[in-house]
Amino acid sequence: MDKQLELLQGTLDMLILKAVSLSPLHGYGILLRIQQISKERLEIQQGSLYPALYRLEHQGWITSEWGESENKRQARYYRLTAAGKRRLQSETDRWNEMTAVIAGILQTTPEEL
Amino acid sequence: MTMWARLRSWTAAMLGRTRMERDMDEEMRFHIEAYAAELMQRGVPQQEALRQARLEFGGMETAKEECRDAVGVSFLETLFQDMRHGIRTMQRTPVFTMIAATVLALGIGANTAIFSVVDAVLLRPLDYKDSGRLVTVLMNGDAPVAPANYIDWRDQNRSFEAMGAADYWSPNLTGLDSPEHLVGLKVTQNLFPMLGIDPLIGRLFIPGEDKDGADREVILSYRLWQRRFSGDRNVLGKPIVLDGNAFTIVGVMPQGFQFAPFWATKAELWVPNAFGARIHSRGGNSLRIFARLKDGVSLTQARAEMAAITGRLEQQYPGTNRDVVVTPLKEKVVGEIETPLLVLLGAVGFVLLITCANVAHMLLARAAARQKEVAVRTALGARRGRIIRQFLTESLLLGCLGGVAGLALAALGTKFLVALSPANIPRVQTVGIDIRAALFLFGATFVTSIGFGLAPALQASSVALSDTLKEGGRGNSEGKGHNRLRNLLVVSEFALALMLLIGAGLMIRTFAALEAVDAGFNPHHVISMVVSVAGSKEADPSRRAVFYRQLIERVRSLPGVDAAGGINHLPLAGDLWGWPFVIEGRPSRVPANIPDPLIAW
Repeated sequence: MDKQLELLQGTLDMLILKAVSLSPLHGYGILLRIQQISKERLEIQQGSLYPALYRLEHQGWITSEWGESENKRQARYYRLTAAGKRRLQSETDRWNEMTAVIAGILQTTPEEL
Repeated sequence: MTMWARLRSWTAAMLGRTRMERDMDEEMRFHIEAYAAELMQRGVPQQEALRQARLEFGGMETAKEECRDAVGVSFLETLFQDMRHGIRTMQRTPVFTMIAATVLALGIGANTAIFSVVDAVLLRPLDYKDSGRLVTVLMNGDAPVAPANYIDWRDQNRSFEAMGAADYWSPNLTGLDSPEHLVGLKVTQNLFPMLGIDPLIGRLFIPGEDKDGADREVILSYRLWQRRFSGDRNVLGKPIVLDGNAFTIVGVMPQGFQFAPFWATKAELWVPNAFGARIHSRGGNSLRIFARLKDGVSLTQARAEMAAITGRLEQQYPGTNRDVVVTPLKEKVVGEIETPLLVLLGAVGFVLLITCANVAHMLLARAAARQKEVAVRTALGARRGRIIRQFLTESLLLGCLGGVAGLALAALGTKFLVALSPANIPRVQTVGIDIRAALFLFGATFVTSIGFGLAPALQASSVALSDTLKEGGRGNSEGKGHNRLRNLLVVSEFALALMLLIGAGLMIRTFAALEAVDAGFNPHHVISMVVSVAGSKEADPSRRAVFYRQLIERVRSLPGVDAAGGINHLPLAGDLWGWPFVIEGRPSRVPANIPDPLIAW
């Protein structure tokens, strides 16, 4: 397995929004989903997931309700709201633009200047 | 939408505090157990799996704290915690707390008391409808006007919606259980409607009631109605005897109604003014003129028009209509007192500044003694903002303590000020601690608390950790910056105090000088009283002189009386009065066509 990448500052919120946009998930499920999609290449501090979840819910981008988990236990499920959907879209656009710009800078060769 | 979600999440969190805690706990435990279960599936023993899951999750308490932060619950939490800590600190140092609170109470209380006076006297609009458009029209801006001039102005102007006149009248009230000398006004019929105040009961004067022979109605003030008629609603239509004539009570004005506002302020009854023969007088100046500007007419326009009218009249009747000034009523009412009151407000403002500097100084000294506490808290992970916040919370507590005591002082202070105030301060009866004064007090307390708390808070929070801890807990090192700040405070305190002292000294000097002014007569051991014969059979011009002569003779013969005399108006009593006079040997400037140069008061 490749060395795990540390998460860039401020990207956790975006990843959470993306994860819950696919289907409602509980906290642990979000963690698993991100790791699964990223092929275990992202290192996420497990404890830091929850402040992020509370923050996102506070901002109205996700909402939560208690439900039954796969192993018949009560778990708190998070789901994207309409505002969250818009937010995810704008965050994604911003991210794509940013990476394109930075990639462009990094690929610059002396001849191009 | 998100604002709403935020508020909902916050209130839900605040109200369901225990539920949020339980949810957080359960959610995180679920996470750890689910992870442990997965590890166990991979063959890790249960104990080891749980341990590893907890380890990888990280600090659960830290995570919870960050969750609370995210929802904003911890703001109040921290506030309560700081307040508890602050109260404990205050209890540990009761003497310090008491002195600081007393100093603050004096500063805040004095400011609130003066503010309530300034507010009631200066800031509030007069208690008439749309009072900003009311003006007075007076000679020299001060002196009364003759009836014939008033009539001309009233009929010729186009600037005013209405122009009314008031004449001082102090009748004797008789016919009830005891006679009483009252202050009242004779007003033109249009005056009260112009003020826009409805009577409490009954009615205002109606057109025609200020004509000769129809002028026998009276409107009472609330106070007179309460005092002499016990607030009986059946007084309407009943007669009372004023100066020997029967007047019918037609109305009672509401409580707090005052007219006129700047002169004859103690007027308690109003009757219609039928000018009688004086309607043609241009010499007997006794009327105060009030007017309401028409909508869309500016003060400047009204002044210009009045100047034109009086200019014409002066040519027509030389010697009259000179120096007529239109003044906004509010300015007329508060004009003379405005500057002294603002100076007073400024002075107590400085007192508050000194208070701030004083308490800041005390807190700085204590902050130095608390360096160790701060150092320990910093070492345990408290951020600088957190320390500053705690110190400011303590300052606010101290400020509130001072504010509450200040409120009591202000309530006493306003009573004291009103009792002490000279009679010529308008509207002073309405002074009191009301919601506006309370808001001022609240604001003053808050600003003061931040004012005196900020420097010590910044100072205390900037403690160099290693130095303080290294000093073996003595915690008494004072850096250069610390000294400089305290020196600055001492210097500014001293400067402010000196300024106030000099100001107060000058004021006392002025007062002493005024007291020492030679009035041209010896006022010592002189007493005065008011005697009126109006309405009695002694009022007859032929008997009046005899009555007063006899009265003075008999007063002279009283034991202990050295000399006695009489006068219509007391000198230096602040009265204004117009009377034409002629200098012997010089041509008369008094208009020749005055039929009745005598003023019938």
